[in-house]
This record gives sequence, C-alpha cells and structure tokens, in this order.
Amino acid sequence: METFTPATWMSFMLLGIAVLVHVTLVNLVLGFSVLVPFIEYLSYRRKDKGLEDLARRLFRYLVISDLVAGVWGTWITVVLGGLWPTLTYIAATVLFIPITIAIIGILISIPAIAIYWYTWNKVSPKIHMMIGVLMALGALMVPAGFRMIFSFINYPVGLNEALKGNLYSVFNNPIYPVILLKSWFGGLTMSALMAAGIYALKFYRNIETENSIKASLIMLKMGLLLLLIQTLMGITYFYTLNSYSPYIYASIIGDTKIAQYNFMPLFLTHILLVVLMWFAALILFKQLRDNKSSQIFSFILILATFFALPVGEAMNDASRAPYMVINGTSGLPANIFTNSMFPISWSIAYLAVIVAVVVMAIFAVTLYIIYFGRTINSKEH
Amino acid sequence: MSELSSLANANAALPMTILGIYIHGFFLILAVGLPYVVLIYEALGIIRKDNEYLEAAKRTSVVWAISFGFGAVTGTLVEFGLVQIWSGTILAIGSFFFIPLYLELFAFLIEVTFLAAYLYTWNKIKNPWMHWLLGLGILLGSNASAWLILTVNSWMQTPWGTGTLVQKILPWTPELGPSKVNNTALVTIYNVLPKTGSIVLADPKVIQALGYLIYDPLIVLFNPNALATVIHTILATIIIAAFETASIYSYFYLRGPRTDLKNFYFKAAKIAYGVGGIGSILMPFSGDFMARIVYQFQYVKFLIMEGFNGGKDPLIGLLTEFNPSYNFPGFKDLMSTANKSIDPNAVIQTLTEAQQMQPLMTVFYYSMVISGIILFLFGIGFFGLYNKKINALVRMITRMPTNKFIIYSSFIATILSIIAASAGWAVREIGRHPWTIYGLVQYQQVITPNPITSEFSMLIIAIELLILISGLVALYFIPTKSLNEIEIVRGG
Repeated sequence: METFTPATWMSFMLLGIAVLVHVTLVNLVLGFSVLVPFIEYLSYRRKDKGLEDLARRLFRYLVISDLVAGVWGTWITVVLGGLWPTLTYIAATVLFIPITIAIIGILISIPAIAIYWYTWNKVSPKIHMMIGVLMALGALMVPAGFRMIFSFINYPVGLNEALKGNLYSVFNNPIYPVILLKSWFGGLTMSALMAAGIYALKFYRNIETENSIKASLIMLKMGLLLLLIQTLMGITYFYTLNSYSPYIYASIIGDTKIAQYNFMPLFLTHILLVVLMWFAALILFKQLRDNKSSQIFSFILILATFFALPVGEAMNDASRAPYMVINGTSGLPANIFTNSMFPISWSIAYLAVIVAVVVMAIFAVTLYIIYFGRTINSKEH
Repeated sequence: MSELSSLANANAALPMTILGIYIHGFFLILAVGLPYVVLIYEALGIIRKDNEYLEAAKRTSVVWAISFGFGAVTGTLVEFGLVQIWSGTILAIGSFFFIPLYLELFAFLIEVTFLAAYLYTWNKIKNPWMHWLLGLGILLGSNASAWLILTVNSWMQTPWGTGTLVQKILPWTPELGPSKVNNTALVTIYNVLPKTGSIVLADPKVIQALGYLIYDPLIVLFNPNALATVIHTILATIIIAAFETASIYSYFYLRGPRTDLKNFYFKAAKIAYGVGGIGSILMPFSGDFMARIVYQFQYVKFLIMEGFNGGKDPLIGLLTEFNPSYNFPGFKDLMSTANKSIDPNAVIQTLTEAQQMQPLMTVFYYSMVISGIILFLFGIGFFGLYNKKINALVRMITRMPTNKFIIYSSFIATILSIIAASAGWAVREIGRHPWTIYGLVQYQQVITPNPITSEFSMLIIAIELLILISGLVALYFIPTKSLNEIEIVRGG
C-alpha cells in the first residue's frame, strides 16, 4: 500500500485545487470563444440585431473568465514546475508537440480576443467573423494540447518512442480523442447553460426583459443539444477508461479490490448534477416558451452547471491516487515524481495548503461580488 | 545530445526567449510603475478636493487592466518557455526558486483581486480613502510580484547561499553568503549536466538520488543582489510609466483646440512628469548601489560593462575603493587564477567570452548611463516650475519656459527611459554569459533535448510580435478613447 509523504500530499493538494479552479474557468473561456462568433454569424445570416447584441453581452463573460483563468494557469505552472519537477520535465520533453499546440493556442487566443473586441463594427462583418474563427480556433487548441497530458498520465502511450525522438507517437493514445471531444463539448455546454441560467434569472427579476428571455431561450436550445452530446461523450469516456485505464475506472466505481480509494460518492454527485442540469434546463425551456421564468430553477441550472465540471474533474484526477501515472490496474506512485530537493515537513505542507485555500477563498468571494453581483443584478448597457 | 548540438539548440532558442522576456517586461513596467502615478493623482484629488486629479486617476487606471492582462499572458509564455524550452531549469525551479515563485503566486492573486475591486468601485465607495487603499493593494501586489521575480533573477546572477562553491570554479568570486546547499549534489550536477544534457532529468531516480539541493530555501530571499536589483528596477518602472503618462497627456495638450481642457491635460502631465523627474533624480543613487553590488559579486561583468581592462583608473578607483591609484586586476590577472579552479576550462571560457562581449556591453552600458544623466537633468528642470533660478536656467538652455519644456521634453524622456531600461537589462543578462546560474550551470546545459528548428522559432517570434502589436493597439486606443470621452462629457 502506497502512502503519502508530506511533499506528495502538499503537491497533490495544491495541484488539485489549482487545476479545479483553472479548468472550471477555462471551460467558460473555451465555450464563449466558440459561441460568441457563432452567434454573431447567426445574427448576420438572419439579419437579427438582437443576436449580435447577445454576442456582445456574452463576450464580457469571456473576457472576465479569461483574466481570472490566466491567474490560475500561472498557479498550475509554478506548482507543477516547483513540486512535480520530474513529471514536468517528462511532460515538457515527451509531450513537446501537444504542449506547443496548447501554448500556440493561448498565444493566438489572447490577441484574437483583443482584436475581436476592438474591431467590432469597425471592419466588415466577414473580416470580423474571420477574427472570431481565429479566436475560437485558439481556444480549441488549448485543450487539444493540454488534454494530452491527462491522456498520457491515464495511459502512457509513446513514452519510449518520444524519448528516442518520435514526438508524434503520443498521438496514438486511444483515450486522447475521447477526452478531447469531452472537453470541447463540456466547455460549450457549460457556457451555454450558465448563460441561459443567468438570463433566465434576469428575466425573472425583470431586468431587460425582452433581451433576457430571447438570450435565455437561444442559449437553452444550444445548451440542451450540447448537453445531449456531452452526456453521450461522458458515457463513452467511462467505457474508454474501463478499457485503457482500469485503475481509474475501479476507483470511480468503488472497486477497492483494485483501487486504493473509493471515489464512488464523487461519481454519484457528478451524475446527480448532470441530472439536475437536464431537469432544470428542460423546465426553464418550457417556462420561457410560456413567457415565464423561475428563480429556483435558474439557480439550480447555474449552480449544477457550474459544479458539474469541477466535480467530474476532481473525480478523474483524484481517482489516480496514490499514483500519478496509471499503468493498467497499477501505476507509478506520485512519491517518485514529487519534489525531493528541499526539506518539506508535515507542518510546512499543512501551512502551504491552508494558506492557499484561505487566499483562494478570499479571491473567490471578491470575484463573486464583482462578477456575479454585477452581471445578475444590473443592466449591461 | 552532444554538447555541441546542445549549444546549437540553445542558440536557436535564444532569440524567441529574449524577445518574449522583453515583451513581458514592457507590459510589466506599466503594471509595476503606473500605480505610483495613479495613487498620487487620486491622493491629490482627495486632499485638494480637485475633481480633475480624480479624473486623471480614473482615466489613467484603465491602462492597468490592459497591462495586467497582457502581462499575465506574456508571463505564461515566459513560464512555458522556461519549463518547456529551457527544461533543465526545473532543477532550480524545484529548489532555489521555489519559495520566491510560490510567494509570487499570492502577490499575483492580491494584485488581480485589488485590481478588479479598484476598477469596479470608482465612485461607489463613500470614503474616497478606502478606494485609494484598494489601489494601494494593487501597488503592493504588483511590487511584491516584481520583488519576488527579480529575486529569482538575482539568484541566477549571484547564487546566494552557496558559500565558497562558485569560488572553487571561478576563483575571483567572493563567498556568496553562508553555505546552505548540498555541495556534493551541486558538484555532481556541474559535472554530469555538460555530458548528458538535461535529458538525464527524465529519470525520476536521478533527482531522488541527488537528495536535498538546498537545506534552507529561504536564504534565496536574503540575497544582497536582489535588494539592489529590486530598488533599481522598480525605480526604473516608475520613471518609464510616469514619463509615458506625462507624454500621453502632453500629446492631448498639444493636439486639441479645446482651451478649457488644456489646464486639465497640463495638470495631469505635470504631476506625472514630476514623479518621473523625482525618480530620475533618485536613480543615480540606486544605480550606484547596483554598480557596487556588481563590482563586489560580479567583477567580470563590472569590467566588461565599464569597458575597463584593469589597472589604474582614478575615477573608478575613487568611486569603488576610495583610492584613485588602486590597481584593479584585469583579464590577464583573472586568467592566471585558472590553476586554482576545479575547472580551469570554465575560467578560460568565461573570460574569453566576456572579452568578446565587452564592446557590445560597453555600448549598452553607456547608452544607459547617458540616458540616465539626461533624465536626471530633466528631473532638475522640472523644479523650474517652483524655483525662479532653475526656471531661468531652463529658459536659457531650451529657450522656453519650464511648463512648455515639460510638455515637449516628456516625449524625449519617455524614449530615453525606455532606452535606459532596455540597455540596462541587456547588460544584466548578457553580463553573466555563458552562465544561466553564475558559475554553476551554463545555458546550453538546460536546453530541451528536442530540436528547436528555425521554423518553430520563427513561428513563436511571429506570435510574440502579434501579442506586442495587439497590446500596443490596446494601450493606444483604450486611454485615447477614455480621454476623448472627457471632451464629449464636457460638451466638446
């Protein structure tokens, strides 16, 4: 039985917390980066000024999410580099091509967001939409790169070939396409349904009534379709894990004969949240078509959507414990990858994690006040 | 990967790395230096109950969001460059750099939290000083961030806490603080990395076999080089940000026909110019402190930046040793210490490459010094607004009164401050060549084993330039739009 050292526990916790926050926010970035230009395209095609207005509104969510997600991206990089030196070296060397794809995605995405914003109504719609396509492409490239890391530590394909110079061998990983599609559709689903919930709530509170009901209905239509695809992707991913990463599968279904820890409760929570998303989205859809809305179902949709993703991510990542790289029904223990270059006692480990959690909580509260307090309760013009 | 191909790979990666760091620095200058200007505007507005200063603070603070956003993006780029391209630095990130980098995460969080709160709460908090305090939070966050990152860079210049280890390799180096490192492990790394390249780190057993590299990671924070660097660099960011702000308001002062707004633009330009001017007057003191640290701990860099080959120099002797006839050791004298080193080749390589760099370094160094002297004089000239003798002097030299001089010279001051900072940073970084960590690790030893092709390098450079252009466009349009709004609001 593998046990945690203080360094391993601290490394696991700090990485886990940062990944959860970051992944949640970057999913909004991904989703809105694709949805905004798509809605803008629809607005020109249907000659519907209201849709263009919606695209502009959603763009605000994208900018704020991206700003905050960037902060947590830095957290992940420092925690990985500082506390998981060997793992980071291997990933940076073996997964050089996928990580480069992700970095280029980041580098395309940010300037594209800025250019997209400043050129709105200042260049022809065709050119503006082409910039939007670039923005969406950049956002889609980021998980296309980084999700290879997750695929690799779930099922390390191509390690030896890559170390010999064949850097493309890692793309033969059968988990990769499934996890990538799941990430793409996850981001789109989350963004569409979050926006739908927020606008349904605005409609309920009589804030910009006409715009809000229209925005919510459009987002719900898109969100429900995406949720259907995402549900199917989730089931596919579940069975892919069974085939290629049986240890994680065993952890998730609570098979403690194989896995050391039981993550069945997290799995059930995730399923419950997805059911709530379906339930709330369908009820709101019906209500909005009847020109009504509900505060409680809007909140359920917003919260279930917001938490479904991090709970799923936590389940996936924690179910590797105590291993970091899974190999069938066993794996390489996290201990061998964590930092052994300076002394880390239990007191330092606890202190580092507690301070990180407290500071993150303060950050989250401030963010809530500024972000949600402003967008839900106010006009956007 | 052979040592020769590692060197070729490292040289191929250098241009994109240098460009990336400079672009990152460009945006960070505003994030670190601008809060001083904005907080002075706001404090003046509150104390004097002057809405024009408050308006200047509000309009200028919009730049923070842009500089922060682009700073964060380019920071991510620099971090990935470090981890992915210079992947061997993982050894230092996981040991010597860990504490400053970990603390920097909190500084970064503080900065973003206060930034959002400050920008959102304009005119929404009853007590204006509470809003000012939120701005102070940004200043503390961004400056703490700069302090910690510069501490990492300073450790690469002067590996504090390694005792006499570097001296054993480069004998002219003094003792670098108390020894808090595992000498055996570091000597092993020193001997193994040149032979294997960084690929040896792919085996988890290697790092575990080395054991602790550092026993007290906090020692990194007490590096005297870091203290001098932080003061010098933060002062430079204030000067650049202040003169940039002054030049933008001066531009609007000169551009518009609206005479009723000229007073506002001049007031804003005057205060920003004053901040930059006072910073420029203080700069020689901080520059002197920095140069003394370089002289004490990086003697070879001192020689090449001064364009000095040792022997007697009355001015340098007086400034450094308080003895005009002091006889400084030159390159030949240093070369003769090779037999005392555990690696004589390292001594020969360091000194040979330093001599090759000397002409270039001297140009950079004196560009910085001359720019600094002119800025110092501009700083003195600013006080012509308050002193008749200085005003007369300004009139005599420039044939214009001080207020006009401030408006016109703000553009020159901006350019000079950027030249000084860019040249100064070049001196700092090129001056430790060929070492990544002075005396311990050379740059080609930490490069990725994957080949850096010219196509890859060109692609990254193109994207870096795209980010820079986007940032510049944003930095031009957002403040301009914000200032144009004033004209609309005031019925223009």
